Amino acid sequence: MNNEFEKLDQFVLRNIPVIKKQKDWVRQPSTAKKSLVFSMMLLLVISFFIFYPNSPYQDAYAMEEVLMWDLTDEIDLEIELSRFD
Amino acid sequence: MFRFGKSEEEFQEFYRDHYRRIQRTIIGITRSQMVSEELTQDAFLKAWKGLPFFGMKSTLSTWIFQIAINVALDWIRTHKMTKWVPLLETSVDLSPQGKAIEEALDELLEDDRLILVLHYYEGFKAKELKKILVIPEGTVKSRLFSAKKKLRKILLAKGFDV
Repeated sequence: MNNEFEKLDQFVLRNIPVIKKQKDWVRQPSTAKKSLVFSMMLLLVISFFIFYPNSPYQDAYAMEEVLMWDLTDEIDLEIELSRFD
Repeated sequence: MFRFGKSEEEFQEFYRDHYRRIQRTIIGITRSQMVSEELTQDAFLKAWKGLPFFGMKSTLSTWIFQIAINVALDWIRTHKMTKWVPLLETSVDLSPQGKAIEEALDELLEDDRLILVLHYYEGFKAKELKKILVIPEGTVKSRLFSAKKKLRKILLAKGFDV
C-alpha cells in the first residue's frame, strides 16, 4: 500500500500544514504513591542484607548483642558489689 | 473524585497542548470552522467530566480524539448534513494544491474523510487509528486503502499527477 500511494502521500503531506505531535499524556501516579513504593523497595533491600544467610550484618548484630550482654552483666555485677560497700 | 494527575492545572496544560489538534480534527470531520470551536470545547468538557471514569485502556490523547470524533459525528448526524460545502475558511491561505486536497476531502464520504484527516493531518498510523476508531487493524488498513484510492481518483480528475 505504501508504494502504491507514495506519490499521493507526498503530494498531500507537502501541501497541508501538519501540526507537530505533542507529548503524549499518561496518568502519573501521585507523589504519595511514588514515596510509598520507594519506601517499600528500600525496606526490601535493607531486609535482604540483614536477613540473608551468612550476611556480615547478621554477624555484626550478633557481636553487638554479645557485647551488650557482657556490658549488662558487668553493670549488674557492679550494682551487686556496691551493695556491700 | 479522581482528577487527572495532580491538579486542574495539568488538565489545562493538556488542553493547551491538544486544543489545535482536536479542533483541526473536528474541522476535518465537520468541514466547518465556525462550529469547530464550540465542538472542541464540548469535547474537552466531556473529557473533563468523564475523567473519573477514564479506564486507562488507552492514552489520554487517544481518548480525547475518540471523544472529539464522536462529538463531531454526533453534530453531523444531528444537523443531518448530507451535502458538504467547501471549507472556505481554511482554504483561503492554501496553495492551489492545498485547496484541491480540501475540495477532494469535501467530496469524500464521512468515513473516508475521517480516516484521511486522522492519517494525514494528525499523522496517526494504523496501530494508533485502531485504538482511536476502535476497529481492527486490518479494517483500518483496508479503509485507509480505499479512502486513499478515492482521494487519488478525485485529485487525478482535477489534473494533479498523484
